[in-house]
Amino acid sequence: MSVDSSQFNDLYSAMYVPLFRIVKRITGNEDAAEEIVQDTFIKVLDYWSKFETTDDARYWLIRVAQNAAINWAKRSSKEHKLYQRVYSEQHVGMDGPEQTHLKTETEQLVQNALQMLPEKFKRVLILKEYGELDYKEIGKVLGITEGNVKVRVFRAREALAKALEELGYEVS
Amino acid sequence: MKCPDKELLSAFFDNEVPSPYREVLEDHIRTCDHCSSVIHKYAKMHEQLLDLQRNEIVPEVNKGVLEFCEKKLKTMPATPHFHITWPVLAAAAAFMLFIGIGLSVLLFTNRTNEIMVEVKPATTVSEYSLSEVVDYLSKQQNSRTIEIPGQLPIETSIQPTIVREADFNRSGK
Repeated sequence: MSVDSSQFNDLYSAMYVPLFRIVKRITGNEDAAEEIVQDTFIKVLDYWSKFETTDDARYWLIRVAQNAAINWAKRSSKEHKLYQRVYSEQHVGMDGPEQTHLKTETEQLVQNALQMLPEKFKRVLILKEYGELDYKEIGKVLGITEGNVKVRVFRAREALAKALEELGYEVS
Repeated sequence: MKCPDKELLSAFFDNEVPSPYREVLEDHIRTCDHCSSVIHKYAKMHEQLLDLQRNEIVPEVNKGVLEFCEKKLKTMPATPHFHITWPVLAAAAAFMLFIGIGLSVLLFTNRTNEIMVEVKPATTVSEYSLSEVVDYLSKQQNSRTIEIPGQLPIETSIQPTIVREADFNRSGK
């Protein structure tokens, strides 16, 4: 794709919010989400000439931001566990970095259930629910087939329902 | 109608089932308590997931970052990046393979002919006769093994004479 600042502006405007939401859901941290999204937009410029269409740039942005968010969450979780071990009395009831600023008990329950999902289910469900992507687009982001996305979304939903029930919340 | 599996219901919920299957499923779900409860469960979970971001404040687009990116874009070379796509690469590879096979077949065929000339059985002259040998040699372009019964092995000192005779006869024609 040739260098065109209007194309980049359009992409930035269209992708900023969904990207922020996806990253925020994974990290649970607003500041980290903002930083990761901005870094990803700066990084995309280095690869700009390799994209054939704006959609390719879009899928690249989501993939890279999502990976960065997962890495951040893992790093943060390790730090949190270490911190919790030292100052356990101050952090009773908190499971990870994603547990901040939750407004209601149900929201916290859903957030906990979401974090309980295996990584591949969590990724696909977050892209579906917060990225507002269809199966084909999710497949492009994750590098899997549409059929595979369909199966994973279904299994992720079932796993989420099971996790919610385990936490004592009736879904059906 | 038999109930569809839940995987299909999940795809239906995501609006990923094309027409006319979608309409058939809609009709079934309307009349089936089991399937409608599955759809209801998916809808409820969807709402709960969306609730997590309902009151979320998304920070405004960072103008500084946008300006930085625009500046960086302007400094990037305008020449389009030459990018070889996979289909082009595959076509080139197929073409090279085709040419390679063609050349191999051609070379192999020529080589076979050469081998055939080389493995031609040695000619045996009926009796020891120098004129017969010279006649034969004069008709040939390539050297041949000549067996002369009762005269083996041929002395190497005789050979130059034979060759000179043959050359003489050939040039005389």
